[in-house]
Amino acid sequence: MNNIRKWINNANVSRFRFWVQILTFILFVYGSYFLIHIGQNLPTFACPYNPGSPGTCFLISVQHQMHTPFSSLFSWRGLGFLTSLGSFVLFFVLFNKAWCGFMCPLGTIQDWITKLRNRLGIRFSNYDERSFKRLSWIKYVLLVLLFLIPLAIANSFFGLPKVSHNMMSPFCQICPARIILPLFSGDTSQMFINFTNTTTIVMSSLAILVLALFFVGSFVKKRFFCFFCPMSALQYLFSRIGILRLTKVGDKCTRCGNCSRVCDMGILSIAEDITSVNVVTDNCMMCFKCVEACPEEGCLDVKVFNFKIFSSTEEGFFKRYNPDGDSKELPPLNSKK
Amino acid sequence: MQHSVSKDRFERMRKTGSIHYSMEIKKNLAEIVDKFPDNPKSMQYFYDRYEHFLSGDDSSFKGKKVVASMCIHVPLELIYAVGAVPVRICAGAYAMDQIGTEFLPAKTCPLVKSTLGAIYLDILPGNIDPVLIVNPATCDQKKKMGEMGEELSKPLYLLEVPPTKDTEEARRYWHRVIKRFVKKLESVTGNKITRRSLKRAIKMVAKAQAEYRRFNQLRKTAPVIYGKDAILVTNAYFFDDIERWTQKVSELNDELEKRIEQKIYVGKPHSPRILLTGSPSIFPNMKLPVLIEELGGLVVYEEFCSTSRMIWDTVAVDEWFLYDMIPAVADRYLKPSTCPNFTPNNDRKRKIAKGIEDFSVDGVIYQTFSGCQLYDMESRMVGNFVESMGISTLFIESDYNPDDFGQLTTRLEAFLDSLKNKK
Amino acid sequence: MKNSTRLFWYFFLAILLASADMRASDKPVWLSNVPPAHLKKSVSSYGMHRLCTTKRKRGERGAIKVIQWVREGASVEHARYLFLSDTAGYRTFVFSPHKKKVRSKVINIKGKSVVEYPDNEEGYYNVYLVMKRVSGDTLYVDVAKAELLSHSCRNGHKNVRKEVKPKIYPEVITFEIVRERHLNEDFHFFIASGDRFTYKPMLNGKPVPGIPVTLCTEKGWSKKESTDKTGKAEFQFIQDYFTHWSEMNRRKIYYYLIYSEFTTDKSGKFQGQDYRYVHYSTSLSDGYFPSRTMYTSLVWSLIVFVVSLIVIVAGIAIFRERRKKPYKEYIFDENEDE
Repeated sequence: MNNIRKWINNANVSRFRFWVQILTFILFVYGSYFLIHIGQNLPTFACPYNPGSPGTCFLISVQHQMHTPFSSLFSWRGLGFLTSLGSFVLFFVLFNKAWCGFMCPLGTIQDWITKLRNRLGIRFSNYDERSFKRLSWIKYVLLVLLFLIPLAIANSFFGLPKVSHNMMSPFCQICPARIILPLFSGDTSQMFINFTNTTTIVMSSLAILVLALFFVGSFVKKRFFCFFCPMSALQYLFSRIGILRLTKVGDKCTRCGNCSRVCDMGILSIAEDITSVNVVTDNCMMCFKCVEACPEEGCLDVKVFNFKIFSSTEEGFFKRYNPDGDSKELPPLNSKK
Repeated sequence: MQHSVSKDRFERMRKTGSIHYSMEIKKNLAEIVDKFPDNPKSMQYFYDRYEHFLSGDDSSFKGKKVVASMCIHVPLELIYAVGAVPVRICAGAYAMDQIGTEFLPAKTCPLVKSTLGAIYLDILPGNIDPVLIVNPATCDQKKKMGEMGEELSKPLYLLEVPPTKDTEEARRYWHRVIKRFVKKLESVTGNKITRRSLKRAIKMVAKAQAEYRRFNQLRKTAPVIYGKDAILVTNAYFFDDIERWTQKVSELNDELEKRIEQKIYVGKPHSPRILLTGSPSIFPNMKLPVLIEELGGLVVYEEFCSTSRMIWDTVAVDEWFLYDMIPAVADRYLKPSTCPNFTPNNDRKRKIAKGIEDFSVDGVIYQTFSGCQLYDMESRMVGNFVESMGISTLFIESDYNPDDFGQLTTRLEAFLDSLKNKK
Repeated sequence: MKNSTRLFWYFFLAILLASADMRASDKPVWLSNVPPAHLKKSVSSYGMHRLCTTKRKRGERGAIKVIQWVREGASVEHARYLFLSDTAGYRTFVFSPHKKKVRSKVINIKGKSVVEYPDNEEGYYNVYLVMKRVSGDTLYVDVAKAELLSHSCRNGHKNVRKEVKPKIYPEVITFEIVRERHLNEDFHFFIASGDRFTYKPMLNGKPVPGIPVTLCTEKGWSKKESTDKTGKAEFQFIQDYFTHWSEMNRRKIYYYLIYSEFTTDKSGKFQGQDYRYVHYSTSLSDGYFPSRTMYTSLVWSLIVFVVSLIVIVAGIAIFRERRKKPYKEYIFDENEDE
C-alpha cells in the first residue's frame, strides 16, 4: 500500500493530465460518432452545434428551460428544471472542478495553444492582483444574464416589454465553443454574421470578437477564457459538496509561493491563505499543478471524500524537478561558461 | 573614514589580523571536535575544510570569478548561472570584530563589524578576491556598513530588499531589483546569462537542497548528530564548492542512516532538546551551541539564517525560459524568508512552531547579538508565542567576545536543569 | 343560320367545353395549412411545422385535431377555399405513421371545408382527399395529398431514418406524388430556399415517365418539368420574394404547391356513368424556409475575425514594447487659479 502511495505521490501529474485531456477531448468532440450519448446536463462544454458531440452542456439546458413563462416555471415545468439541475450536480460532484482542468475540450484547446506559445519562447502575461479581483466578477455577471435574459424573453419584468426573441440562448450566441468545436468535424458553418436584424448583427459580431479574443487571449495568458466562463461560476456554487477535494494544511505552509507561481490561473490565495482547509476558489480548475510544486510534506492534498489520493511530498517534488535525474536535463559541464 | 591609514600600518594590521583569526579558528575548531566523542566520520571532511578556512588552496575556485554575498537574500542560482561562484562572507571572528570597531560604533552588531573588518583587511574565506560584494539592504547595520565599504574602495553593490514581502508592490519591486542585479552580474563577469546555465544552476542548487532536507529528516528521526556539527555542515555551504558539498553531505546522510539502524545516538537519553534561534552562530563563533551541548543539552533544530533559512526553500519554475526562471528565483529569496527585516513576520512564528512540533523540542534558546535591534525587538513576540505553546524560552544576549563564558554557562546550566526537571 | 349566330354557337360550345374542362390542369385541388385571412383567429397552430388545428376549449383533453383547408387553384397565395357540398363525390383517407388508417372527416368551418383528423403519434401523417367525378367521357380523379410531420422533442428521436421514409398506399390511393427524401433528413427537417428536391408521381405504386409536374412557390413563380424515364422530376426552390428589413424572419414558413396530372385510355363505369378516359391529378403542398445562408455571411465574419485579431495582437505587442521604457513620473498641476 505504501509503495503504491509513494509511486502516486512521485508521479508527474501534468503528463497524466495531458493524456487524460486528449482522451476526453476525443470523447466530447467526437463521441457521437462512436454512438456515445451522455446526456443533456453536462458540466463541461460539449456543444450540440458540433455534430460529433455526445451530449449538451448544461448551460443550453438552462437557457432553454428559462425560456418559460413564470406561471409554468413555478409549477410542474419548474420541477423539470430542478431534475436537470439535479443531474448536473450529480455529474459535477464526481470530479468537482477537475471537469475544468481535465475534461473540458475548450480548456484542452487552450492548453495546446499555451504549449505552442511555450515552444515559441514568448513570454506569458499575468494579471496583477487588482485586475485579477476585478475581472473575476465578469463570469458571475454572465451567469446571471444567461438566466435572466431567457426569462425576460418569455415574461415581462416589472411591466417592461419582453426582450426580443432574437436574444434566445444569449450565451450560446456569443460562446466561442459554438464556433470552434464544429471545426473539428469539418463544419465551418457556425462562423457567420447574421444580417437578419440589428440584434442578430450585434450578437454575431460579438461572437466573432469573442472568438478572436479567445485565440489571442489564450495565446498570451494561460487559460484566458476560463476566467470568464459562466460554467466555472456555476460549478463553484456546488464546489463545496464535491467528492474530489483539494485541501491545505496551513501550518505546514512556508508561504514560499511555488504553488501560485505555477498556477495556470494565477491564483494567489493558494499560497497566501494559511487558514482555510478547502482551497478551491472560483477560478481554480483543479489541475493539481500546485500540489506537484509544493515541497512541503503533506501540505497540499488531493482527497476523495477524506481519503488522500495524492499529496505533496518532498521526494515527489525533487523527482519532478529532477536534480538527480537523467543527464538529458543537465547540459554538460563544459558548456557552462 | 576618520583617518587615513598608511600602507605600512595596513600591512601590519593585516598580518596580526590573520594571525589572530587563524588562532581563533584553531582554538574553536579544537573545542568543537575534541570536546565531543563519537563525531561521525564523514564530518572529517568538514573539519578539514574549516581548518583550511582561510588558506585559499581550494582548486574549485580557480579560473572562476567570485561574487561575495551577505545575508540570505542574494540569489545564488543567478551567480552560478553567469559562471561565477558565490561565497557568503558573513564573518564570525572576534579578531575581525575588533578591527571593525574602528569604523563602526561600539554598540553595532558584531557580525557586521566582523564582516567589515574582514572586507577591509581582505581576509575572506578561502582567500578569495571578489569582483563584487553584494550587500543586501536588510537591517540598518548592514546598510550603513555598506557605505563604509564603499569608502574603503571595495566593489560593493547594494541589493535593495523591500521592507515587506506581503504586498504586490514589494514583489514587483524585488523582481526589478533582481533583474538589474543580473545585468550587473553580467557586466562584472563578462558572461551572459543563458537558459541552459540558469536551468543547470537551479537544478544544482535543488540537488543540494534535497540533500539538506534529507539531513533534516534524519535529525528528526533520531538524535544521531550534534547540533554543533549540523551548524558546521550548513555553514560550510557558505564557501564550499556546491557539488562537492552535496556529495559530502550525501555521504554524511548515509552514515547517519547507518547510525540510526545501529542505534548509535549522541547525547544522553534525557538530554533536553533545544531549538536555537535568533542572531546566527557563524564559525568560528560557535560558543553557544558548543556550550549547550557540553552542558548536556542537544540542539535539534536551528532557525538561523546561517542554516535552515538559507537552504530550505526551493525554486519551482513553470516555463523554463528566462522570463519565468529569473522571477522564480527572485520569489524564492523573498517570499518564504523569515528574516526579521520584514514586517509583519508571522511566518517566523509559524516556522518555529513547526520546528517545535516536528522535532519535539523542550526548550527554545533565543540568541541576540548586542546591538542587533531586529532580533531584540522580535524576541518579545517570539517569546510570547513560544510560551503560549507551553515551551520555555531563554533569552541570551551576547557578542563575539570569548570572555563571557562564565556568565553564559551559569544561565545555560540553570535553564537546562529546569528543562530536565520538567521532563 | 346566319354567320353571327353560328359564331355565337361556336363560342358557346367552346365555353361549354371549356367549362367542362373547368377543373383541368390549371386548377388543381390541394390541401393547405394556411387558413383564409378572415378565419385566422378561429383556428390555432401547433408544433414545429405550425400545423393548423382547431381551437381547443379550456380544459379540453385528448389528441390535437389537425385540419387542412381544401383549396383550388395554382396560385399558392390566391387559390380559393372550397366548400365541399355533400353531393360532391369525395372521400378522405388519413394514415398514421405506423400505416394505420385514422378516422378522418371533412367538416365545415364557417362555410369552408377542412379535412380533420386526430394527431397523437410521432412521424409523418399522410392525408388524402380523393375526389372522383365523370364529366363528358372522362373520369376525373383528383387526389390532394399532404404529408404532415408531427414531432415533439420530448418524445425522443428514435428510428429517425426509418420514420422519415416516404410511404405510399397504392391499394387505396391510385395516383399520388411522392417527395424523395434527402440523406440527412430527420424530424427537424425543413426544405429551404435553394434546395433541390426530386418528386415522383406514382400510379398504382409505379412511377410514370413523361408526365408534367409543376412547382409553384408562394409569391407566384412556377416551373414545369417532365418526369424522366425513371419517373422523377427534379426542382430547385428559388427565392421569389424580397421582404422589407423589418419583416425579415428566418423562421417564416412560405408554402409551395406541386401538382401533376395526365390522361390515359381506360374504360369503365363510375356511379352509373360510362367513361373512356381517366384524368389523374394529384397535388402536394408543404412549407419551406428562406435560404439557410441568406442572412448569414461567412466572409463578413472572417473579416471581423481577422481585423479584431490584428487589433488585439497589435495592442498587446505595443503594450509589451512600451513596458520596456523607464517608469513614468506623476505630474501635478501647479496652476492655482486666483
